[in-house]
Amino acid sequence: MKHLIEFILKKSWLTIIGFLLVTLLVMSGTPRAKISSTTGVIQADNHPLLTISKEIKKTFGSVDNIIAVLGGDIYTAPRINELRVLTTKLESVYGVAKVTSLANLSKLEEDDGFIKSTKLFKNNNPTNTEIAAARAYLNQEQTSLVTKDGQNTVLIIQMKPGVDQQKFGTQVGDMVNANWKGEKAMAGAPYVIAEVNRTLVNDIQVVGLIALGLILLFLFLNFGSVHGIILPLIQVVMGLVWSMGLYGWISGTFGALTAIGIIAVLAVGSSFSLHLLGRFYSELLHGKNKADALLATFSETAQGVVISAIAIIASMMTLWLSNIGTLRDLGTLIIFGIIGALAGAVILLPALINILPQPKVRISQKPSAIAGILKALARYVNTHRTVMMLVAGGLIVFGLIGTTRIKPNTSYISFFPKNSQTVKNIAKVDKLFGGSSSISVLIEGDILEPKILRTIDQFTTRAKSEISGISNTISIADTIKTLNNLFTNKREIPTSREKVSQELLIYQSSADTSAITQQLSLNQQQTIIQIGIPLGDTSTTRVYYNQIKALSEEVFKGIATAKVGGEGLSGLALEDAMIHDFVISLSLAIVLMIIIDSFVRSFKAALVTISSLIMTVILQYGLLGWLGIDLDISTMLLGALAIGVGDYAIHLTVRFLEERRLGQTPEQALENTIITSGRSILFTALTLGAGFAALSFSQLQPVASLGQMMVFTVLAVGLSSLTLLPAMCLRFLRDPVKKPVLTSSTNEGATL
Amino acid sequence: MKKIIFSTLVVALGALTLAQNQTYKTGLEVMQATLDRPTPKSSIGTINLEISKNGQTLSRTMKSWASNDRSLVKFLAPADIKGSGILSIKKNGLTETLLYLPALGRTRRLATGGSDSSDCDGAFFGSDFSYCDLGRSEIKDFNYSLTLSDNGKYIIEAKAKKNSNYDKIIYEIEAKTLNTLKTDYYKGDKVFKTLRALEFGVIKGYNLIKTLSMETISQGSKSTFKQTAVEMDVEIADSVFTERFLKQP
Repeated sequence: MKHLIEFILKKSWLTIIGFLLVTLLVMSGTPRAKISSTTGVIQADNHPLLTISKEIKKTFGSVDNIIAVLGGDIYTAPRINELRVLTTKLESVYGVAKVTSLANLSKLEEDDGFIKSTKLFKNNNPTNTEIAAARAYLNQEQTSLVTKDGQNTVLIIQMKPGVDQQKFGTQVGDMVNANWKGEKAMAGAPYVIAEVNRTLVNDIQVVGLIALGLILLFLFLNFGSVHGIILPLIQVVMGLVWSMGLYGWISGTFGALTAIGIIAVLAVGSSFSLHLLGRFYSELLHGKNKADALLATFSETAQGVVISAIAIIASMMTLWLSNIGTLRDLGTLIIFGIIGALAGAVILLPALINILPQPKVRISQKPSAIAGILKALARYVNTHRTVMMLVAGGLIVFGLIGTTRIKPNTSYISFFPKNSQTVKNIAKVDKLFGGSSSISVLIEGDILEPKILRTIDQFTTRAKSEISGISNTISIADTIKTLNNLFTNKREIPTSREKVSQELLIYQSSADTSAITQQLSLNQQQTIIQIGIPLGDTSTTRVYYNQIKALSEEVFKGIATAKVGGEGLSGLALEDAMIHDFVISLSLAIVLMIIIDSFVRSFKAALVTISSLIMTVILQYGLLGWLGIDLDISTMLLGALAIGVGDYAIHLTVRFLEERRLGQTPEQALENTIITSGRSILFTALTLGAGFAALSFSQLQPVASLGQMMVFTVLAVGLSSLTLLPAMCLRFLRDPVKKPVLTSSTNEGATL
Repeated sequence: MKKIIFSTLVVALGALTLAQNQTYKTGLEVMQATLDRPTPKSSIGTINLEISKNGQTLSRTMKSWASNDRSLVKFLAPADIKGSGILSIKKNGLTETLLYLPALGRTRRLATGGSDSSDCDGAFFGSDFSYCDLGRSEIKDFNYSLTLSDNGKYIIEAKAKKNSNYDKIIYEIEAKTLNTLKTDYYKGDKVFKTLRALEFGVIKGYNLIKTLSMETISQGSKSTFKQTAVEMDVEIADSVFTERFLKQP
């Protein structure tokens, strides 16, 4: 490090130009990054439920739909005309495979010996008689395309396999909004994903700017000068540029959690400058010239910053073990950002300071208010260390009890605030359509055997009567019964396999066969039963899943094989993967922190410091449970982020050991430590807290929750670093360690 | 419309007289020449239709009799549809189709109604062939251009003049025989389906496409249509095209 800083001081302009050229090269990769929030990205890689869903998709095609509920009396000619126009326009929208509405609904009927497939509404401006006949038919068929009172009608827009869900969702949404004058509510995975994406783009801009503003404010409060703002600003911007650029070079994808990565880079990056500039100003305050102050700062404090960066990088690397692509991407994005911010801090920052005029240092005649508070705090800790430990113990118990109340929830609906328009729309569709999400039961056997078809019919009937909330099912048995009714006037499953096959054969020669291919595999050995369920919390979905699974096992036992899957269960797979990742990443982050800190300081010091952090993490997750905040793909990161960004607490431990080796009594060493390192820790906590506070402004609920909890976390880490950690140092680290530690010859809490 | 296309299936697709060696300057001329080749007055054949997708296959075998505007198709396999048949007779511009389902023991008339009757976009018995694909093209519906003529092949691009099932069709036609070797059907600017003639044979001077396949690119499915035991210009008794014959096992 010393050689590096000596080179930078000798060749500052060369360093700046070289750094900017490298930055430009890195930045040129940014356009290669993609923005996407498709379910494929926010999804576990492997899970038995997903395997069944993939099998269903492969055999029966995409089951992703957007369901639009359109308000207004549909049984009027103008409304039917309007619906026809919308249906036709939607058919030409990107990614649309099929649109089903009253406007294009066909019915099979017998007419004077003919089997005819005719449109329900043949022409524009249907007469009152035609409308009444259509209404009677729809009531008889109990279709879910229109409510009984005719005040709401439903459009089902089916997505082609393999198309961009977000683009499909956006364009369908825009088309519906532009072409239906009445009330409308939309739901379905592609629409929800489009909404997430729209919010995401807005979030990255708004939340990023708020975070930057708040961080700069706290930097100003700490250093009290433009110099103290501009330099960190340049450094964190470099962090962001490198983050985006390197991410682009690996063709990374910006997803729903990208805002978290950006904020983490801003917050952590600014904490690097905060430590370095604090030390630099402190050295100036103690009479050193610019060159000597820079040499001292970047020979000594920079090592701590590098180690902190390595600790955060290691913590984020644990996300690479995740089974969820979005989390792996987030880990990569933050790692790139930290590398950029670190490079900016230890290479660009000293070069810039060197070429700029030396800042004037204001020597305060009387101790600042903060110094006074820290001194009082040090004395209080000295005399109340047992109380500190007991309070911490109490908080740990409080936290542990809270963790038992944690409710995991990875449903897409949890991305939006409960009172948001998106959630209201989904609830409306769920209510009127009988579920905007769905569970599929894959049946394997000789499907056209009447015994199996009757069992399928029995299963759907029982599901609707025995499972509360289920009212909408689609199965091959319904289609076969409708066909048989046409041929025999009996709405029942035919008595022989030949009758079933021959009726289907004729149906295939005379009507749209897509309904069949979406229900029956080509070899006639597989079929799916689709069951509409409301899009709710994953706990609710899990109840539906368990009930449907139990019923299918009971009904199909000895008759056919039944497997439960479907897109509606992807949230459950995500939840299972998330809990697994949560345990792995948090445990590994703790172990890595201890190892990394031990290499530089001592194992004992590392253990004491991390214990203080673990208490904060327990309290953090306890609060999650007590406050009823969901454990989701975003809030699960709290622990790893806390361990990573909270590593600055080790600065206090190191300083304490240094004071002890300089011959101070433990109590005096503690007071000196809190007064000196305390200020940096306090402002680091405030700056990090300010950065993460910006996430609270996110429109995506998990991101906002993470922001709120991270504010608590960094402040709690700061507080415990100034209270519990000193108390633990007095208890467990009274004797200085033999291993050389980083030294700091001067106070870090200077002001300009 | 569907039914009359179906009735002339073997004739229209399968057999055309061998072309004379002649060169054509425009795409329209080539297309017109392919359509102007005389077709047999009658035919009898066995057709095997195999549909495959995602490693699964479904095979159906049927026997076909066709003469002028009359046709009869009877399914031979699989067992659960054996004996099912469709009889189509075009009379005074209208097509009447009778279907017989042995499991139900009844004959019924089948038709599509209203504006749907002209729709030929539906899948032919669940295969990748639509009724339109199996019918003879309406030459007036497209503008043709000869984009390449070498290696003994004509490459003809046909662009729809008005709303059509396909926006563009590219034919690859063998110059010597005027057989269409490959046809790419476009929706927008993407190939939607590809038709390939896989096997040819000559019967009574007619050039017969014995095997052809249709692949739906977006769905990854493929249907193969194979004709065997084909006889051309044979006498077929009027009694074949009757309800009584339809119902015979």
